[in-house]
Amino acid sequence: MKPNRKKYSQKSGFKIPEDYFRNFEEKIMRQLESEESVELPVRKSGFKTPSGYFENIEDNILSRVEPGKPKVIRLLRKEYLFYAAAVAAIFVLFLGNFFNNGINDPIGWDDVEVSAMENYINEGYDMGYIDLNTSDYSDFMFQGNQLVNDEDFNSMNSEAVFEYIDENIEDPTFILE
Amino acid sequence: MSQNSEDQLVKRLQSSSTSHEAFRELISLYKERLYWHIRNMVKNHDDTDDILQNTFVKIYRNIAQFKGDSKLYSWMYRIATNESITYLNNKARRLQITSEELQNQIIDNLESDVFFEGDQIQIKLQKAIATLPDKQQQVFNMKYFEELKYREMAEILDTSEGALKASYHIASKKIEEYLKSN
Repeated sequence: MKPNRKKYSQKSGFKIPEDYFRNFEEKIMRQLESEESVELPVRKSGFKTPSGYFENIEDNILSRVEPGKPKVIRLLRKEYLFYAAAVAAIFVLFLGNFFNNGINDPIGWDDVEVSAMENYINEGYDMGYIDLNTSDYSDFMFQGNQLVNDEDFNSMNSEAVFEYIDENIEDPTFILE
Repeated sequence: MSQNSEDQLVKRLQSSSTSHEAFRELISLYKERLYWHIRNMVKNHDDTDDILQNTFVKIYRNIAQFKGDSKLYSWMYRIATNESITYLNNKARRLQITSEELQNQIIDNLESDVFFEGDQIQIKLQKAIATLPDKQQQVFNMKYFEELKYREMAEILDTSEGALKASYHIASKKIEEYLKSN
């Protein structure tokens, strides 16, 4: 439809006040602005920030963009701790139990690229392809951001681990890359 | 910020010798505005902090591609908005609930949130905002809480000022009706 192309037919007999359409847009806009003042509570959302939050944020952000710094996930969050523990356990089991056949020096925890693992967890968690239930791995512990109780991991049944990966990880080959 | 000083800042951001210092300046200039823009969308401080930091990191990493076709602040607001929406969508998918259910859950948690000091009226206001379509929520938050000018909102949302005025008017009316009937 082409707007304002042709005036309304006068045959209907309807009339409009003179200059009705002149400055019509401004009239509507003025009306909208005057009606904006509907009765709403005071303009306070009620949200607040931790004390001093804005004072140090520049340094926090700048530390993340310095060259060579990997993306860091917030390990203080309880849910992330559990996810990290579960996936770390899977990595250790794979590296410790399945790939040292035929290899003289067993691959251990120190060989795992931690930042790569963190990135995997972070991305998987954000993208939704890691979706673990906290009740599945409540026995895993972190101490000072280190995963502990390696002996327990190595004594775990490999069949059970394969089954766990099959059931819970959408694409198990991804974590072996 | 005048167009001239914005252009200068962008040049410094895009030059490797001055980018670090200019970026610190940029964060100082916009940290609070972007924080509150994100906070109004996601409500929770920790989530806002994560998104704000990701937003600035993304700005830093993409500043070389900024061609000045739009204002710098509107480009940054758009990144913050997209980051917030993506975050909320991912969270809803992770929890296997709809966006509406997530929003209700977030508002239900406000009463026990140590970084929320609003009273029952403000909680009711948040509930009323949650009933609006996404776009109207954005417009309402930007006008009512962030007190942005229609001209600025039009730049950020790439919409005409007239459409924004109409949208804000409709949103306010709906909220008023919600508050009266609940």
